[in-house]
Amino acid sequence: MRVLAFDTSLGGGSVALVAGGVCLARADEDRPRALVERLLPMIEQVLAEAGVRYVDLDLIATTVGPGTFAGLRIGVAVARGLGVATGVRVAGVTSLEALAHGVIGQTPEGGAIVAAIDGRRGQLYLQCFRSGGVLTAMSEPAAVDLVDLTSHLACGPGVVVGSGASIAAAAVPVLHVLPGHDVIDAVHVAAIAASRPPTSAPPRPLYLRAPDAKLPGGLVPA
Amino acid sequence: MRVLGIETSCDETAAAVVDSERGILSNVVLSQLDEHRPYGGVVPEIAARAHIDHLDGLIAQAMAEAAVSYGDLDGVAVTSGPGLIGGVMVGLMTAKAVASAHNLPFVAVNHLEAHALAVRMTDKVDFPYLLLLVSGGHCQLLIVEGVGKFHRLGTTIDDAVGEAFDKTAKLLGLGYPGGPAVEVAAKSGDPKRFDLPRPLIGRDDCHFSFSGLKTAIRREVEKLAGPTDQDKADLCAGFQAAAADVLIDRSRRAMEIFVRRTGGKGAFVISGGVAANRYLRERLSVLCEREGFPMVCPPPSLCTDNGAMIAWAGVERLSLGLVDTLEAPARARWPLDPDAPAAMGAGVKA
Repeated sequence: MRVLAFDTSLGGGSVALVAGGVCLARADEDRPRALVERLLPMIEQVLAEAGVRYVDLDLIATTVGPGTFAGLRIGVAVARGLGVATGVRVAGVTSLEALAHGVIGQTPEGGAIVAAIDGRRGQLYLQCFRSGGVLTAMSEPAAVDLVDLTSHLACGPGVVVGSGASIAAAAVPVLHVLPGHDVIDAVHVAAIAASRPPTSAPPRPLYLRAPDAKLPGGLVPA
Repeated sequence: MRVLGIETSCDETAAAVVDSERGILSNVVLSQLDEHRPYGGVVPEIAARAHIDHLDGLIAQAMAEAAVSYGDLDGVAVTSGPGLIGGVMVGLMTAKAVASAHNLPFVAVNHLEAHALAVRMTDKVDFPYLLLLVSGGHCQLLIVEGVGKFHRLGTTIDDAVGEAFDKTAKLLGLGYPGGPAVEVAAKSGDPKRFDLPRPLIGRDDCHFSFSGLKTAIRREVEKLAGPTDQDKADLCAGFQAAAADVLIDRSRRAMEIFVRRTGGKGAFVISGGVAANRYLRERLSVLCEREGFPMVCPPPSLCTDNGAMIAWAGVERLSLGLVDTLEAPARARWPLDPDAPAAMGAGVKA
């Protein structure tokens, strides 16, 4: 299976072309806010290096968030644009599972893996997984207030990754920070998407937060 | 030449296919009015979320209705600014993906230029012509000298005229969007009952100002303490008459400058969402007849935001060999005439 995968949900960007589980070409961009300009040239470069055309692809995969609203929409827009124009199947994975997938081999079998992204505004985007060959989700992705971290992270001892890892570990001491895993590698996005059964619905952004808008009179929408 | 056009810069998600010979092959517009109505105005984040949910489906629909395949296209054109940046990015990235997938020439279109050129798709209007661009976000008078060549004569120093309509409607509790509601209410109103200001009338330049007019309406509403339907109708009629007087005075001044600059008269083109207002069009047509500037106005469906005008701008630019790379940025601000001096007191909308 030939998979074109990318992530733009957390500020930087990663693009990979993976065939049969092997990464044939990749491109990375760590400058924030550069993806509007860089993403398509990166994709074209990766395809050219791998010698793969769009029509040769079996799957296009993107992260859908949570992350920055603008960033996650860049990835979803490009994935869905490529999908409508080529007819290639498009799939979305969450940025939390992509982060957790990156450390499967580095945790004891059966231990907890927590993905924690700093959502700002006093919140972490969180999801708990169980390691063991494949990644098993133990909770749904959620935006959690910092004061609620302890009750939300009752997943037992394990590791925590992501930009919010140290905040989570400070609240829940049985979690051990694995440093250097704040950035998503598109190879993991490809691996997760390829392992899933096809769905017909196109990927939709996972914001975990309502738009910042008040109704007339200062009311918060229901 | 056949171009796919994509528009997502405000609260309409739109895709269209335009053929330079056969005209508009499809023109699909999905309005987000229902999503924004509870807020009394466009909420940028809500707009961006709606664009990404629907754009790919609208592109598929536009391609199907036009009965063309991607291989039949000569280019993909998209609004890359100015506009609400979150929405602009959705359209821009989607369009880049479509262009890349089929190795098609890509055109990053200035939304205002698309409004300015739309009339050339429906009527054979030659350069140069005088353009009154009136919408919820813009109010400008420009000489359109050619594709990518604009000489700005005037702009608003505060609110756009469409914005003034919306705010007036909001003050009177007429709902959203305000433009059509004010026009309907004004029909049964007395435009002379309230003494409303005509800001900047008689000045040598061609700038506009509408915030004082809006404030005057608010004061009258406060004085009435619970306006009746007739009060509201009279205020709408008065507001619309004042707005028309301002547009006419500023346009007449622009016509003088047009003649001096180009050595002759030309078409007077009205574009943008406010051009759908029949009362304003009728008032301006009287001016045009008197001054000898033939008035040309695209049909209302091409005055409000749409994909066909973006595709047409793509046709015009591609015909001149103007192509952009897939690195084109999204631009929140993008003046048509970058050399125009800032209007005194004007904010970012100038």
